[in-house]
Amino acid sequence: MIHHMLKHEIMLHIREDVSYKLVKIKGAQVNHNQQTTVQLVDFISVLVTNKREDIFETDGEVIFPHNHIVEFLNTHNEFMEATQAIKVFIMSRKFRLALQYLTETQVEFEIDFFTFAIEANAYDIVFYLRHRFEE
Amino acid sequence: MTPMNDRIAEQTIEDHKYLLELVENRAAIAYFAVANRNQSLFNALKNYVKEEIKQQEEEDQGKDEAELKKAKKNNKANSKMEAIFKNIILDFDFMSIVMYPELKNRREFVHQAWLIAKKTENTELKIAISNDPYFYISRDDILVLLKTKDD
Repeated sequence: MIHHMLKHEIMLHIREDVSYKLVKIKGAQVNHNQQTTVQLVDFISVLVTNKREDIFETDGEVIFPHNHIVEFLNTHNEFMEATQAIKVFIMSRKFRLALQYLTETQVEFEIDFFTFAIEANAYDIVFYLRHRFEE
Repeated sequence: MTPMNDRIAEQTIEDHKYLLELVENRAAIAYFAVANRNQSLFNALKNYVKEEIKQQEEEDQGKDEAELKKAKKNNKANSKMEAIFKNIILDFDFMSIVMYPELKNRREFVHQAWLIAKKTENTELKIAISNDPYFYISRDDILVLLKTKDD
């Protein structure tokens, strides 16, 4: 079903602040019904923000571990935009996932990586990006 | 093909009562009646549901409170879907769904039908609804799709 939805670009109703940030990352448009086309980054964002069954507990059951996210991205590889996925990982302070896709995909540095990391207080990622891309 | 009038629609519902046991079938009939602009079928289903509710209320009057509570507890899993179905068949005006699909009602109708299709994992219905031009999902729906590994 997810593949069908991504393929047919069905609409996503925007209600949360994070969805507007994702619209910016996707470079998409929002229509007069507050809707935009759903893309893989929307799924990634939901995966990383709902790592645990209860998002307000720190020791609750993990439903979406890192390897699950990696598997999911492999399954839907044809819809994957590496820079967009990395931005979502940075925004959600997922250092290991961001690092993995930064090195695996060899994407070119974008200033958004840096600003998103600072906005999210993800200083481990900030220092890594500075170390790796500073010239 | 003979166009469906109220009498034929009522007869169709009467002949297929065995299908109406399942909420997913009722939701499918309601959705396809709207998608095909079949007001007679939609109204026939609506009347059938109203009749069912009336009968249920009459039956419930005879039961005591403890019995009712027990029955409610047993039907808890289904009751949410039943509530959604009653909402789509009783609360939406047919004309507002098919004549003014640009407005909110059609989108909400399709989305609620999707909730039933997803909950019952009826693949054909899910595909049909997701191809509707007024279909949308939210982040909550994405979470459900991911949790159920509906790749």
